[in-house]
Amino acid sequence: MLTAGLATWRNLREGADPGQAVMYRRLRLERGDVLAFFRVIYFFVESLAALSHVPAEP
Amino acid sequence: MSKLSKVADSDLRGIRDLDIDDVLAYVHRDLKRLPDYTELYRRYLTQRWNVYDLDFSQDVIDWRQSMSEEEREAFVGISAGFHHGERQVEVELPVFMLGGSEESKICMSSQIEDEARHTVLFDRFYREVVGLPGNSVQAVLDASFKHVSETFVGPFGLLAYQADELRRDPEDRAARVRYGTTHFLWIEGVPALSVMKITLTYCRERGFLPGYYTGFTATRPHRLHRHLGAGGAGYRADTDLEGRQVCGRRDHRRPRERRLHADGRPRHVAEPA
Repeated sequence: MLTAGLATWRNLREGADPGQAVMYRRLRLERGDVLAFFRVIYFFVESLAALSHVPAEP
Repeated sequence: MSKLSKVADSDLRGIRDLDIDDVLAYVHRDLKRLPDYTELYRRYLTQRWNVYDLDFSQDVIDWRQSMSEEEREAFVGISAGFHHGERQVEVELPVFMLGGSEESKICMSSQIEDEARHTVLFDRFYREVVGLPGNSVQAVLDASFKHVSETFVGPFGLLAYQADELRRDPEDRAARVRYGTTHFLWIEGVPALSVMKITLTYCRERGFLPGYYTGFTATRPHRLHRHLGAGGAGYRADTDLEGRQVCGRRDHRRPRERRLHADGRPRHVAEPA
């Protein structure tokens, strides 16, 4: 389970780099295995980047 | 004075004349015997240099007048990883310092200061030579992040989350080994070495960017010699766990003598009739 503050989600929605959000640990892994998460980290980052292109209202 | 002695004793002015291959030979020689934490801290005190003594004036001329657009683009793409990598190891290392022996903590404090100084080195290079915008360290980091290869998210992101894992219990040896594997063995030992060799060989062979060459070469005895040495010493201490959990998995290997009969005969060899 990943969590983040409102500012981080807002920045990601506005096109902030998801890779930087991961490197700066702006998303917290509250529950789950770190190594398992990083086995799919590139898929996760690309997915987040793709989602940020979907128009959404706050 | 031998080439390896020059590496050990050079000040910033002397470092400019060193060949990066001699620095690597110096590093490899001492890694074979893994100096202890106190010796590593002693070396820190004698090898420390002032990042604000570096002169980037010729670098600015080379960057604007001598390097092609293609060279500049490739160089920024490679060095941006280091700009963020130095910052990353600087901010994640304090959690690792909370555990381990008192000698280890003293040694790690010097490594954190090293990493902070290296972050400033890249901050100065990106502001003064490349000309990235930003009036704070974070602003310059943000400006250079778009040049960072996505592959960096793997090891450096992993380091961030393993540091968070370690924060919950800094004395957890398995977590320390996991963190140490990513930081000291992989990041310091593989991508750092490779990227260093690529950019410094380019600078030396083309005769460009003497300020960058001097500063980055000066980080090498620190990073590779003391940081890999400290990592090796810590790794040795943290993995000294016969029969205990290592990296979250039980080590099933048993000492060789347990596979033998009392008379030294291997268990798969039948007893003499």
